[in-house]
Amino acid sequence: MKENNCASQKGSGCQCSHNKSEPNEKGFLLPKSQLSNLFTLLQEFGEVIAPRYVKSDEDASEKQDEQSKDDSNPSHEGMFLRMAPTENIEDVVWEGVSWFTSKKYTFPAKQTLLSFSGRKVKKWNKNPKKRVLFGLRLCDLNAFAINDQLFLKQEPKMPFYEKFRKNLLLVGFWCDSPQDKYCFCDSMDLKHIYDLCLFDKGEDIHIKVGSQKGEEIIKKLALKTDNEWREAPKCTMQLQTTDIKKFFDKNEVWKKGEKDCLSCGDCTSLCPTCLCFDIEDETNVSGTCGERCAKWDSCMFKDFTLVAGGEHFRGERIDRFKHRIYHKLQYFKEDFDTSMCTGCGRCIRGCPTKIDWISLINEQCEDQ
Amino acid sequence: MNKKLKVGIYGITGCMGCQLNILYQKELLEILDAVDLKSFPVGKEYNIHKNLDIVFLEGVVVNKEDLEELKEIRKNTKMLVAIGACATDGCVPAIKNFIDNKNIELSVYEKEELKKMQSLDPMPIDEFVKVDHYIYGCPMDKTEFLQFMKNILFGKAFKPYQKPICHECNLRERGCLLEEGVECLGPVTFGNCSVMCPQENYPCVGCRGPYDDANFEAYFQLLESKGIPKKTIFAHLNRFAGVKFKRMMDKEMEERETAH
Repeated sequence: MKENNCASQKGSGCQCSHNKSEPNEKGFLLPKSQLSNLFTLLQEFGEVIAPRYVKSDEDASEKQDEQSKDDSNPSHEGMFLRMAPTENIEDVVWEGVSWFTSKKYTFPAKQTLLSFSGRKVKKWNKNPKKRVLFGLRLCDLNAFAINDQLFLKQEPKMPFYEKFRKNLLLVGFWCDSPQDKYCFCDSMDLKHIYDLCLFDKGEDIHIKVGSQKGEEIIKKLALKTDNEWREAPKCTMQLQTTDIKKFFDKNEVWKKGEKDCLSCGDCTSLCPTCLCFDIEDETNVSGTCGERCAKWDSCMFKDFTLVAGGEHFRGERIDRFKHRIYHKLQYFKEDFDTSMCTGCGRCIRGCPTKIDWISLINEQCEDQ
Repeated sequence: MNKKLKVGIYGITGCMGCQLNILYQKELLEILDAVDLKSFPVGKEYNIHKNLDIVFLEGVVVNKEDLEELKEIRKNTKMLVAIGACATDGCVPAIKNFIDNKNIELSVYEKEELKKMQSLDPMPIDEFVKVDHYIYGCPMDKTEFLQFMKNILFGKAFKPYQKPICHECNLRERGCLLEEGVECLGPVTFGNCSVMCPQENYPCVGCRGPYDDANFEAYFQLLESKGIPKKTIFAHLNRFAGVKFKRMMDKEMEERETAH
C-alpha cells in the first residue's frame, strides 16, 4: 500500500516539472551554418566558457595551441570534461555532462572577502569579468537558481556572489537523451531557468529564449520563430521519493552506503549546489597586512563541525554521510520549498567508490 | 625585544631536507626578524641549547645516540614540533620495521664486526617523547611551516589541516587519478601540500601520512576491484608512514574486538 504512496508523490511532483515546454517562452530557429554568428555575439557579451576536454581552466587559454601540437598525454586531457574558456565554436563538446561544475564562476574555490593593511580595511570590490556559460545542462542551470535562493533572495546577500552572478549569461543545451547512467534529473522538480537554451533539430538549432538578457542577443540575429519542442528524456536512474524524513533512523540501510564512503569530499566538491565554506585569514609574517578569504569546505570532513573544546557535532562518518543527503532533499526544502538536488548525478559519477545513494532511498521506499 | 620566541632547529637521523626547507623559505628573513633563533646547528655556528621555547625537530630515531639527543632536546624546550615524515611517521627508514630484519645490517655492510652497531627499530619521535605539533610531508611542507609560524607568532592555536588530498585536487580541478585507474593514495592521505604530485600526473604516494579519518577498508576494496593486490597497497602505505599506518590498523582491530 505504502509503495503506491511513494509513486503518487513522485507523480504529483512531475506535473510542474520540466517535461513540458513553458507556454510564454519564445523559440527561434537558427540554421547550423549561422552558429558561429551566435558564438560571435556571445563573445561580444563576454568570455565564453564551454565544456571541453582540457587539463584545467587556468591553462586552457594559454596552452591550447601547444597541446594540439604536442599530444604527449592524451589520456589525462581526454578524461574529464570541464568548463573552460573557449575561443572557437569547433572546440565545444556537445555531448556529456561536465565532470566539474560551473559553480566556481559564481563562487571561486578561494574568494577574498576583504583585505587589510595596517588599520585600513578594504572590502572586496572588484568587478568580475563578464562571462557566458555556454552549454550548461538543465541540472546546472537549476543549480544557479538554487544558489540564488541562498545568496541573493534573503538578507544579508552575499556581495561577491551577486557581482559574479550579475555578469553571467547562461546558455543551456537541452538534453536529447540522458547524458549518462548517473543522471536522474527527471526525478527532481526542475524549472526552465536560462537566458538561452539550445536544442539540436538536425539541420537547425532551436533556441529558446528565457530572459530579457537572452532576447537582446537573439534579436540581433533576425531569426524565424519556431514552436516545436521536445520533451526531456527519461533517465535510467530514478529516485522514487524526495520525502525521506521517515527514513532518518534506518541506519542499517544508510550503513550500506557509509561503509564505502572514503570521506574524500568529492561528492560535495563536484556538487553544483554545495557551497559551504570556511573563512581563513591570510597574512604576512608580521601580521601588518593580509586578506580574509572564503574557501570551499565540505560537510564530509570531520573538522567541518569542529567547535571550541574539540567537540564534533557529526563525528561519526554515518552522520556526515546522511547529513549531505538530508540537506539536499529535506532540510533545504523545509526552508526554501524546493529540494537542493538537481539530479546531475555528479556525486555518484565523481565518487571513487560510486556510492549509489539513490538506490538506498529506493530500497527503503520499497520496504515501506 | 627580549620577549621574542627562543627557537631551536635540530635534526637527528635524516636527510636534512626539512631543515633545508626552512632555509628555502621565501619569508625566511621576516621569520628571523620575528624570532630569536638560539640554535640551528645546520645554519649557524654558535648555538645555545638551553631554555628554548620551540624546537623544530626533523629525523627518525634509529640508534641510542639519537634517543639520548632527543630526550635532551625535549628537556630543554617548552614546545616540540615534529617536522617532516621521519619525525612524524617514520618515513623511509621505518620500512625496516616491516621486513625480516635479521640480516639487514649484514647485507648492507657485509662484515660481521659491524653487527655491533646495534641499531634500534626506526621510530618516529612521538614513540619516545611528547610531541606538541606535527608538520607533515617529505620533505616538510614549506607553506604549512609558514602557517604554523604565523599562528605561533600571533598567539593563535595551530589548527592542523584535516582534509584528504582529494579535496585539494577538486579545488584545483585535477580530475581523479583513481578514476584513471592509477593507484593514488589521495583518499587516505592528509592534504595541504598543494597536490603537486597529482598536478604533474604523478599519483599521491602518501608522504604526508595516513588521514585520520581514512576509511581503509573501503579504500582497499576499491583498489582490489581495480585489480591492485593488497600487498602492493600495503607496500605503498608503508613507504612513508608504515608506523602510523600500523598503529591505526591495530587501533581499528582493537575497537572491532571490543565491539564484538
